Amino acid sequence: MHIRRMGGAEVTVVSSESPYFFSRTALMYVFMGHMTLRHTEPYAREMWDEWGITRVQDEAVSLDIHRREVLLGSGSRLSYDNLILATGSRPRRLDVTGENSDGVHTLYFRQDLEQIEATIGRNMKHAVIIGGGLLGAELAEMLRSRGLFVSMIVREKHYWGNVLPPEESKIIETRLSRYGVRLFLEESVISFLEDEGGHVSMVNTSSGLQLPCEMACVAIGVIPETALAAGTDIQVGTGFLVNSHFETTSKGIYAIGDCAERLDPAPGRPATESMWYTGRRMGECVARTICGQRISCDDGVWFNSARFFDLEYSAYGKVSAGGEHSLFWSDDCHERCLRIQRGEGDVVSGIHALGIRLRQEVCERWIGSRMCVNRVVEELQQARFDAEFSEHVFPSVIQSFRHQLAR
Amino acid sequence: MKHISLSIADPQKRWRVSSGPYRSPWQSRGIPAYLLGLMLTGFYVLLYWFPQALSPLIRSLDGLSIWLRGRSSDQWFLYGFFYTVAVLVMGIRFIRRHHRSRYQVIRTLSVMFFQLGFAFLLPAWLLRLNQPEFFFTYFWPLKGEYLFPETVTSLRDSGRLGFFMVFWGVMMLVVVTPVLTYYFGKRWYCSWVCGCAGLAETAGDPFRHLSSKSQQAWKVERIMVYGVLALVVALTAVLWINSASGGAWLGSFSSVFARWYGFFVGSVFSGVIGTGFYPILGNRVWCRFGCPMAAILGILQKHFSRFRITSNSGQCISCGNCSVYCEMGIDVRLYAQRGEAIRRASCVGCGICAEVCPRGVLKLENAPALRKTAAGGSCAAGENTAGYPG
Ligand SMILES: Cc1cc2nc3c(=O)[nH]c(=O)nc-3n(C[C@H](O)[C@H](O)[C@H](O)COP(=O)(O)OP(=O)(O)OC[C@H]3O[C@@H](n4cnc5c(N)ncnc54)[C@H](O)[C@@H]3O)c2cc1C
Ligand code: SF4
Ligand code: SF4
Repeated sequence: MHIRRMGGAEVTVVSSESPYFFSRTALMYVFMGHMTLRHTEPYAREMWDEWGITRVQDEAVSLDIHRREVLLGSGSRLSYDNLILATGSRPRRLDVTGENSDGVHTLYFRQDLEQIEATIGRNMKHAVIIGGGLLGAELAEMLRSRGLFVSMIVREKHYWGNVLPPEESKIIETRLSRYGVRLFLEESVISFLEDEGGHVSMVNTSSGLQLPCEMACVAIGVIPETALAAGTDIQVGTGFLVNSHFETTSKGIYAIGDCAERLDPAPGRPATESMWYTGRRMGECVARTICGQRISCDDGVWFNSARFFDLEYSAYGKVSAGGEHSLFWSDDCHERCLRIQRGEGDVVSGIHALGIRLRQEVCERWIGSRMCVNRVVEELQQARFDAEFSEHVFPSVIQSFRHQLAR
Repeated sequence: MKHISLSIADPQKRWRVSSGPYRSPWQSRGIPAYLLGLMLTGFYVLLYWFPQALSPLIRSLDGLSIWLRGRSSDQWFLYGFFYTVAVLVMGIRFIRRHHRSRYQVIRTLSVMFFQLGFAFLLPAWLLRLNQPEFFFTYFWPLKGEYLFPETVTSLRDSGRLGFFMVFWGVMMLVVVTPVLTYYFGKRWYCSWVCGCAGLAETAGDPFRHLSSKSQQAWKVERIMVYGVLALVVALTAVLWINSASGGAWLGSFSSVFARWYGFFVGSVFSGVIGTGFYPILGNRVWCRFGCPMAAILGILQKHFSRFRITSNSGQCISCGNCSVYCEMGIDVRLYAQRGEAIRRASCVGCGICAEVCPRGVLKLENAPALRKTAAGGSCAAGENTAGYPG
């Protein structure tokens, strides 16, 4: 799209999964009946033709970098001047016995929904989710909407413990259990048992728990999809290695999105980020590069947002998972919290919010300009983004932060 | 080995996760939806053109009607009664569903209040006092006849209260509407006061996602809604010219024009299609394609209002919930995913897009643009203790 707008080059999109670009992030809402698959397409179908973008639903089997061609599953070849790899990722596997039994699922592709649906169609009751992160919580919500008994196996000591401080985890854990999700913390799966029909019947964990179930969903993260690098000079680490212009080591070939691994990630950021926002920004940048505006991509202040059932989470900048050296507020019933990370020189380096909406633009400005924490506290109201008439928690947040600063 | 039973002891006590309308044939244009639509349109057809068929129902309300209005029931009392009950009952359902959003709760209480008080009880009470039946929450051009010469003359001649009613209608239109719309957008009326909205937001809520989001529908919308506005303006003008000329100018043409307008716009469009087709076309067909008041409010909102829906710059994941649940068929996502504010004439400010958004991207706002403070450098020595006590 950006390329068409700026340069007018011919653009062809090849994808084996879907003929039209769709929003992977909305898969859960399709499953829950909040929308149809068609609704997940961010652009009306006729627009692709209007923009003059050709779509090919086929698998790219291999690349011929010398002749500058892509080999498709159908046997035909597509030639290119510039090739952008946006192959995304695939779900990480546990690599334990029984993982291939029927009823053991992952969630990434559209087709996964159909498979989960088929298992549910067997009139089952108990599901176990392996992995306590964002996708795990989405799966829990999906399966709870069908009234299943849902348990979650989480490796960390507290929920999403490699990212969240314990206080935030606690709030999420409470919310999950209110919604009927049973958590097993500090556990990992050692094997799946199957019944005579080859269907999963039990999950065995490291501490010797045996969880009987008719479905298991593995949600332990993703790994970049880099199969296309075979037989080319594209270097691969965990993903396709790219510089700050998203150029791979092979001339004329770029990689963006989940499948790209940055050689020079911005300070404090990982080399691969499997996030919608990151992919979107990379797409805009690579379009500019290809259209001749070769400026390196401004990574901006990192942010993320997610939801655990109805509990909204947003994060800006960097907050340490230990929670040390920060200002923290939570309400009396532990349903909401706000954390401001104090970086070196007492400037704000990160903000976490659960159950409170913040204005991203303002948080970004504070963090990007390395604003003093005191001043952030005084100006906190500016970041308020909660809906009109919603309970005004900011006065008590500010008061609490002032006390903590004074100490 | 420890064998654990994964059934929860008290599943009923857990909060429920509701599944969406596309899992219910009632709400996704399944056969029951068509049957319901047929039933509703059937009711409207009987009500408008064969009220005798409803006479057992009408008679059953005689007691209430005599008590409230001092006269026996008729088809319009029956309609008002059903309408109000629907708004109240489905309003309670709506509040239960959206109880976590105070905006939704207060807004719904407001439409319930205006329907019960101003559209049902007050007009009934006026009749009881032998005053003209008047709806203080409807103005020209939605209730076109309120500025037709016939109504104005008869109100004016009916006494001081009637005179006040004419004055009220004009004031609401030329003073109150522009001012409130400037500060709050058209939502002050279209989501908080109007009776059509009252029904659409309560009884129609289960069907809000059915509104068409296509560009085509948007084109049709603009032609139709401004078309109806032009029609009612023309009709009012014609009627006044005709009455000024003592009927000499157009003869019976103007009253035929008025009858046709009443039939097609008042009965067929706002009633049969607007409400009867809730389960097929969504809950705001009339508001979106037909309401001349919405057209005026929309122009004001688009060009002379502080109201907008702000997008939280980059947080959108393009999931599409906002667009699906926009009853006015606005493709909210198209704006949100670019971080653009939404300023659309048709937005009624129901706030549902902001509520269903899973990433807190959208916020309804009246405020002028955000005040930017200077970017702060790192902590200067003196700054550390400034600004807070102790
Ligand atoms: C359920 C779910 C929810 C998520 N929610 C969020 C969220 O809330 N926020 C967030 O930031 N991120 C979220 N993510 C992550 C986000 O969706 C990904 O980061 C994003 O989709 C990555 O985009 P991409 O274009 O790099 O790759 P993908 O979206 O994976 O697209 C790659 C496409 O290429 C196709 N493909 C791969 N190889 C070939 C080949 N050889 N030939 C043809 N086609 C091929 C694949 O089939 C796929 O369709 C979520 C992910 C999932 C699965
Ligand atoms: S844009 Fe949002 S607030 Fe406006 S009508 Fe649509 S859903 Fe309601
Ligand atoms: S609901 Fe929110 S996240 Fe989803 S498309 Fe709309 S604005 Fe974006």
